Amino acid sequence: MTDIMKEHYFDYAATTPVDKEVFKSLEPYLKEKYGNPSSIYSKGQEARLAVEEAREKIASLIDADPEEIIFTSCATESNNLALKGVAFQHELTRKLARNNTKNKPHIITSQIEHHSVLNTCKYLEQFGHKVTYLPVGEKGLVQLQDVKKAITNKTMLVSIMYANNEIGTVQSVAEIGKIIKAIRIKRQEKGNKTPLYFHTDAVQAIQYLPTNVNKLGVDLLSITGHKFYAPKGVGALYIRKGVKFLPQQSGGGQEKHRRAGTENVAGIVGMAKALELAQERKEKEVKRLKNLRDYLIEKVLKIPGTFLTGDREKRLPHIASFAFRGVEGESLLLKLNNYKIFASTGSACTSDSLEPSHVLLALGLKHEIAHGSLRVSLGRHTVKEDIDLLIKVLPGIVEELRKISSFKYGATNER
Amino acid sequence: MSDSDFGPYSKKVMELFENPKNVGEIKPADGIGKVGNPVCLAPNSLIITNPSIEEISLLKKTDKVLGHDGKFHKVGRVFKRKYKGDILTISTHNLGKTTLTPDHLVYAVKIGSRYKFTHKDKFFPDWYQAKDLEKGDFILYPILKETVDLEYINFDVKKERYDFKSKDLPKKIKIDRNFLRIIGFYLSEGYTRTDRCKGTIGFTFGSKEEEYEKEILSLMEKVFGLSSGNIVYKNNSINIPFYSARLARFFSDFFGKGAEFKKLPLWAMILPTKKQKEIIYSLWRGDGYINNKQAKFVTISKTLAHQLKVLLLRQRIIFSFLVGKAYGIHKKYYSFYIKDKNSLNKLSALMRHKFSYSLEKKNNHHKTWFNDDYYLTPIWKIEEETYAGEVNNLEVAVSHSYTTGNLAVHNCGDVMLLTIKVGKNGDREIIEDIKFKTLGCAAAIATSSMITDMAKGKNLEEAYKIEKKDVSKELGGLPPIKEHCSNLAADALKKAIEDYRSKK
Repeated sequence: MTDIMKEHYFDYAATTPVDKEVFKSLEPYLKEKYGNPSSIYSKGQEARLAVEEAREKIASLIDADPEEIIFTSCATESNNLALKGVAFQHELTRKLARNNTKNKPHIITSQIEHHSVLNTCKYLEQFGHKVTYLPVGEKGLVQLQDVKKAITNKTMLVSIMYANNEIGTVQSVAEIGKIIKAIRIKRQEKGNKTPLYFHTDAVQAIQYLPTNVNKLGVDLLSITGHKFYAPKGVGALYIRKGVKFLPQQSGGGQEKHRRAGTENVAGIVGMAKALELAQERKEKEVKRLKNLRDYLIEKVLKIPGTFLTGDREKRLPHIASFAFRGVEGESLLLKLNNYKIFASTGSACTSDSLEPSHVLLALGLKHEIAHGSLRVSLGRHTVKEDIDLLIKVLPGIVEELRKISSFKYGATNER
Repeated sequence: MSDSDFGPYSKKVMELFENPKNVGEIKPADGIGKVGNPVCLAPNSLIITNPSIEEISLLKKTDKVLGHDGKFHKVGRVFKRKYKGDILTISTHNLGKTTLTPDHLVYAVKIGSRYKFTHKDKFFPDWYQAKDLEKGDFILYPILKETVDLEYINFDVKKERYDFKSKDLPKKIKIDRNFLRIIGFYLSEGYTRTDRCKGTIGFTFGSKEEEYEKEILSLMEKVFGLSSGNIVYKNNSINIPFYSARLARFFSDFFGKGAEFKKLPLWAMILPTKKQKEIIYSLWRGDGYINNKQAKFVTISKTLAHQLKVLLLRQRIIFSFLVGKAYGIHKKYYSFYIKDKNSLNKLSALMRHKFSYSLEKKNNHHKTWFNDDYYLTPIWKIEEETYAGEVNNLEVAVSHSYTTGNLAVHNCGDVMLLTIKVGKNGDREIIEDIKFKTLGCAAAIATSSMITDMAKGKNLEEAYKIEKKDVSKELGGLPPIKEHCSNLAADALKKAIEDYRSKK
């Protein structure tokens, strides 16, 4: 355990390092091209041009119009803007009083969304909006018939994440998009004027899965730069033309009055570049990561009393998530840290609330098992040697912790 | 970054985490301390078992209890210990109350009085310590999910040698509408007299209940081929006896003898809800009434009352359950009131009762409701008192939980296990050896290791005085959110010492 030991980063789902090319593309906007895009002199216009170019680039990568892209500070902001923006605008057009709880719009989401969606929903509930949280079952998959059943005449927004950040489960977003389209047509025929929008949180999915917004049938889509090798502090929201929404940040006229605040020019440029690179490398990278991931899963599941959380097949190429009986996640991370292996857990002991992750509980896992969860996420710099090291040290650590453990774990893989 | 710089922990914590001391379990131990979700209901707490109810202190290993998943599970171990300190009594709307220690885990949804439940299919149930619950939080009461559609029941009561009176009875009885209705009538209005060869099963109705008289006569004829002996009309009542020692024994075995001890057997408790409607139908006709404002049912059998609770919840009928003091020989009576409109409608459909005019609008004002697996009802009162005496807990297989009259509670926890061996130093008792096991984070491991080291060799009085803050001080401090972990280690030590003392 010397300081020259190589680091083994297995937390790409948390964040990623900035790519060299990306950094090169954004560097000038931190140094010499520092103008404010809202200034009309040429230094300002230079920056403005960069932002607009980035917008075009991102738009073309997801088959959208540049006007449909709004830059934000992160995915949390994008999700907030999507949900609150649409919900409050609906209230406004219907001239519904804030304290009138009847006829409030209805939102559908799933139990395993990111906190930025779940807590926004809870926030909206305080204003009388109704929210249905769809269950996901033990694989973490939202069932299409559940979505269908949950949609009522008052439903105005469906927000289902593209792929989950903790267990990597990929939802059938395109199919849900189709269902929503069909219902929208029915509503038109019946003369129901309530709009029905579909939002997806594509933060984890954007760089590995198909992201054509028209094929997915989504109206709103959130992304953030730092998950695909762009710097932190920049995100974007795709809003389809015609979706009415109320801006949530008041101020200047940036982003066509839809999101006030000086643009993070360097971040935006970097994000566009990073997304471009990700799309170029997508096919190869997905294949490579899938192989690594499957290799890892196969080896780790050989440890007795271990199981995979989430679906085996419908899974992001870069996320493998496990639960170990009789082991506590934080202890596991600390022991791995000794080998400079960095991973993450949904255990309560690492959260502020001392509650295990809501995602793991939604899968129906017991508390003590959710405590023993480990998420390993791979990325561009992960090589087989990293995984081999992890596989080498993990069984020993698990065994060591089980010796201290007061829980009998049993050698079964049953939950 | 040095190796020990991880997160919020001090060097000492990391040191002990890497090399914990005193790991393991002493067998046999002189004292055992367990914490986690640590335990304990007052000894007279009622637990829903298979098939009835039992006081927790009387439960044995291998008894089956109702888990929070709505199924019966075996009791693995039973625990009791002495407890001195605060104890909480949680009362929920409609179901009753339970007394438990403040750290016991209860299955609930945290709402408090601040918010209203606006949307009923959304909530995140969890296990909360009793002390963290407050008025307005909702508890989830499991609905019995097990179903076995038994078609026949064997009539295997032997005919006694000198029993010349009992008529021949069918060898097996079909569990159909008629038989189930007889059960209902027996539970509400029936009695048995059993001697060795003489025996009577009979029914007593009010003099105005001639309708019932006709019905029971035809039912008994249909099911058992029995006709009544002398029907006696006196003191405003009708007494309908049937002479059959075997049948009398059959009924008193399965359904209890004497009004106070009426009960349902397991097979009746887990019949499909459709069939159970027939039992409720005749039971309610006997001891209850329904009108446009409310329905009411009264019994003096504790077992039957709690069983009816389970049955009504299975029918998704909301009721309020009250225990009242009765005069005379019966000490208590148990009554059910149904006032909620939906539930009244359900009951009236079941009772084939037609309301003479449309129902008065009376919705269930406590805002309780059902989902697929649970009945959700708010806490309305939590009382705190000091208690000294025995408390009990169970370890339950699979679900790790069990159900009292109004709560689903978690069974005893194994998050931390501390075992001690007590030795003598002169005339003083000292902790000769001490070992721990824990499923916990780094702080839990470090604090356990620390406290075992601190306690080793100390005499019991001194060791008992080790407080959580002493441990955390020795460790160079803990992050505020982690203070509870050191709490566990100190608690476990105290419990181990108490355990040792209680065994002496």
